[in-house]
Amino acid sequence: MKFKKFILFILLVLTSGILFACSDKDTSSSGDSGEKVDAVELELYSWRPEDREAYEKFIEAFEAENPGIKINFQPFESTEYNTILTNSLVSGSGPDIIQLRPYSGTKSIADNGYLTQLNDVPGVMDIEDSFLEAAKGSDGQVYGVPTTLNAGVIFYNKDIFEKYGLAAPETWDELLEVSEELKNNGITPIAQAGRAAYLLSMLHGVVSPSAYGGNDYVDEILAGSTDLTDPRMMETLDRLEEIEQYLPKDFIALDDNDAQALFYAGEAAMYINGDYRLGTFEKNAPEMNIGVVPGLKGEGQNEPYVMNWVDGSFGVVEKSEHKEEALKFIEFMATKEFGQLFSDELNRLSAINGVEPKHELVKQITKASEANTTPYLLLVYFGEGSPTTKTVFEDSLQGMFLGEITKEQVLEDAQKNAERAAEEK
Amino acid sequence: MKAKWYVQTLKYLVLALFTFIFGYPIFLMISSSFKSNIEIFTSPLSLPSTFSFENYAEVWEAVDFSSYIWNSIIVSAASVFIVLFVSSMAGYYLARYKFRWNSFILLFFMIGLMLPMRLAVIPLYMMMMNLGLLDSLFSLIFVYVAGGIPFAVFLFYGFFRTVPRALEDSARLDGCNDFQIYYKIVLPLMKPAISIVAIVNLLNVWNDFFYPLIFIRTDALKTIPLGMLTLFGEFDTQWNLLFAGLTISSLPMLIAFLFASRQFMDGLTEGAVK
Amino acid sequence: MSTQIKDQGYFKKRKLRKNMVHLFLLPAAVLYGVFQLFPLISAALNSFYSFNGFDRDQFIGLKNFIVLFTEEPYKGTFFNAFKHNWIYFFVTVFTQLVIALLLALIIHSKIKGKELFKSIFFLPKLLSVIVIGFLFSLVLNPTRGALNNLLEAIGLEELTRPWLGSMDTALFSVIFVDSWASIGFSMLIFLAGLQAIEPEIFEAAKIDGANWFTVLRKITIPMLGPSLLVMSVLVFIGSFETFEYVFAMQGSSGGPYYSTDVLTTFFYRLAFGTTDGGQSIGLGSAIAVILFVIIGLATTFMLLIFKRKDFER
Repeated sequence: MKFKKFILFILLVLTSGILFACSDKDTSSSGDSGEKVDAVELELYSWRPEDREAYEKFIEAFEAENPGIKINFQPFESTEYNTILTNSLVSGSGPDIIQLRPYSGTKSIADNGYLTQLNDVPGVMDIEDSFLEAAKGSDGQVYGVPTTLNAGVIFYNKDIFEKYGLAAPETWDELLEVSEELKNNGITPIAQAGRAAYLLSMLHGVVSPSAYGGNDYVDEILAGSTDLTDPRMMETLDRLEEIEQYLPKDFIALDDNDAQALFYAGEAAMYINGDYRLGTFEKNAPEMNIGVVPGLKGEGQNEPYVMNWVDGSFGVVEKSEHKEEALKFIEFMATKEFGQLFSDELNRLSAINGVEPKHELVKQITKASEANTTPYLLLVYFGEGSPTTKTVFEDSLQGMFLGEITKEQVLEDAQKNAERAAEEK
Repeated sequence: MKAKWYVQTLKYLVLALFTFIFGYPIFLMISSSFKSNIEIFTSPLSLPSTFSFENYAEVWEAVDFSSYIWNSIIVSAASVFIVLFVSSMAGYYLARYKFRWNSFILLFFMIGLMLPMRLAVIPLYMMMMNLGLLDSLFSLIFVYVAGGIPFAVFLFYGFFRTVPRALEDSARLDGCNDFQIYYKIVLPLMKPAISIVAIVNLLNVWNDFFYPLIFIRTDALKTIPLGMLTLFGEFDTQWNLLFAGLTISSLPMLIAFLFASRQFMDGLTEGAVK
Repeated sequence: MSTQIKDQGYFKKRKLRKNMVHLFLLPAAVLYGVFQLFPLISAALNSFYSFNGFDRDQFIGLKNFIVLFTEEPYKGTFFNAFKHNWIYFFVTVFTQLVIALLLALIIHSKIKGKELFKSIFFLPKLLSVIVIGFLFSLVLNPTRGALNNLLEAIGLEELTRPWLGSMDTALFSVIFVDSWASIGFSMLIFLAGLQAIEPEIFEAAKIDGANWFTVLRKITIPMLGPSLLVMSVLVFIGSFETFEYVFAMQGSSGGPYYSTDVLTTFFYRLAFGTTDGGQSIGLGSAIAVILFVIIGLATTFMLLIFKRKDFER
């Protein structure tokens, strides 16, 4: 009967597997139920594994002020985060505090009733209204505290610019002039990659507001009096065509890190991406002398348009057993103290009013965006539909650069998708 | 009959060409792993100027490879073992005991053979979450076992049908019970089937990154392929480290193959002839 | 039939034992049923719902399928991806059947170093898809990649191109990498088939004065017939299930501009969404169901062949 025992053993192993895994989970959440006397433990989900150290510092600061609350920072890979978050919310097994994708990302979660309204949390309503826009549901209520503001900017290599006696470009025409000069000197003007299509959206977003006339066009789009096929939008695509000659050869085949490598090596003089790349530069090329152009000026303007968008915000799960404690953390995130800490640790733009950044370039970008901010149009207002209109648009840009489709088609496809998305709602 | 010399030359030329095509990328991966980042850039095709293990040390330091390797070993060993065990029993059952429902059961397993399981990943994910198995190696083992069963059951079923019953009948007369017959008499005859199932499953499980990508979150629980994703996220511009990481993650299999290449290949082909 | 009666007679004496016998089947059936069949069925059911990840409350019948086949951008994307699956299939048939058979024939003939060549050709099969994908995205990199450097070094500069970044070459590059990894395996299968053919048949043919090509056409291929057929169906299934190589090298967007998009990447984008969102589990599941049908038909076909082969024995 040796064999029967063997089977029994295997079944035991199999079932104990289930038991073991279950009990494993129980211990991790035991703070919720058993030992309330010690501390309430909150789960915080985020898609920023690379910011772990900084978040642990924020949490430390919070815990020092709020003994009795413990926060467990749980980051996931950005690409899987949406799925993981949706599933944990649906199954009700998950977190108390969650990092929310901005705009339509927050909207869909809030509209399905998984988030707690934050209008009454002290400090929240003091945040700039345009930032709060990223964390609202369809009902217009606020469901998240925005923490980070992103800006799409042009980084440039100061040494190269100095060598050829060039000044940082302020307008589109200056950008072209500078690029021409650099090209004549055998330097790739802009280290642009296009294998990941979102990089093309970024390029478009940075150079387009001064072409379509900034917020007026955005307002008209929102009012429904014009759409993406507007001639002003067409002009932005003309610009992309015009600038193509100043991008690296075969840039559609390049990865973002290839582009960065060109920039680090001094083979390219400019690089366009979000301000969050500052951290990457400091890690990979700390000795590099970098300057930043926060945006381009429109005709007859004194301040450049800075393309801004909220990167993410934090909300409280409606079904959380420790809503009260979770709201305390949200309150903390809306304070200037937190904003300052955030900006200092991560060198990012804080969404909280009156935070003074330490980093020179961050300071410059913050000042510029306070003076004249404009939304990242495709990300902020075209994030709906499946696929999203932004995705359709940037994939089409790839097709345009590869000569597969015309500019007109790019805009038509994007507009059609936007209409579809609106219908679906 | 002697082969003509030019035919022979042509054959060797073809073999040499394919040796280059198959071998060179792997050679390139290993040789680049010893170079510095600048050397890869400036002289990508030449041999490394020095054999330094610095890249390996740095990668080993930065990424938790020893955990990854352990996890891969545990998951692969457990999955392959369970697949072999349960499928050979099921195959035996289907081949030897003629119950009325046998053809339905074959059909039941056939569905799994037909359909790409990856497409069911969302319900699978939710199930793992409800069972509390997410972020544990058990989730991987269960999925790999379930995925390996249909193919293995069919293979074993086919094999058992070729084994003469006379052997079992005589053992039965000697007083062995069914389970004893199964594992004393029948199983030893199954070596070719066992080796093909084991190798096919081992290669699949060892090299899969899809399920770990979706089920595993904790760094210390990652398998090698998923660990590679992390590495590529972190060192995207340092090709020397990337090549070293690629080499490290391939090494266990390459070494196993070096020692047992015949068993690997013969195991696969012996099973396939039947 | 007689054995069946004998079995039953044997078991009647020991009823308990008879029931114990079902334990042979149970573990495999349970594990497979719970962790494979059940998720597959519920994935299929999702295709009849409007499902954004949160609520699966709205049953909409076949609407997902209709949308997929009639409305843009889905229609265009679907047929574009479907076309790529077919291209994938035809190119892979060439590499996995023609090239692999050629290599098997050469190794099977009179040459030195059989084992060494076999091992080298099999080597790529040992590497993980992700390793292969990354390795080749480095090798095929337009500026720093080994392939373009190699071409330049041997004076073939005009052949250098952005292999993974151009509409014309990206899909073929991915298929090449896939084939690179799997030819060795197909070769082994063919070798096994060749070894099973009695050498006397070849000897007889040679004495009759048949040349190499005639032998191949008249003897080798017919003798390998069943494995060739089975292999082509396997290649078909593989070409429609293919995901990893595209995903590892080109990402889920199947770039550049959908030139490497296949049905599974299209499925992935809808079922999981991108970082920008855009998740629609209902539509994604509809693609999955279509793939179930395509692959199911192919496998049924393969099993019919198997059955015929069985009867021949």
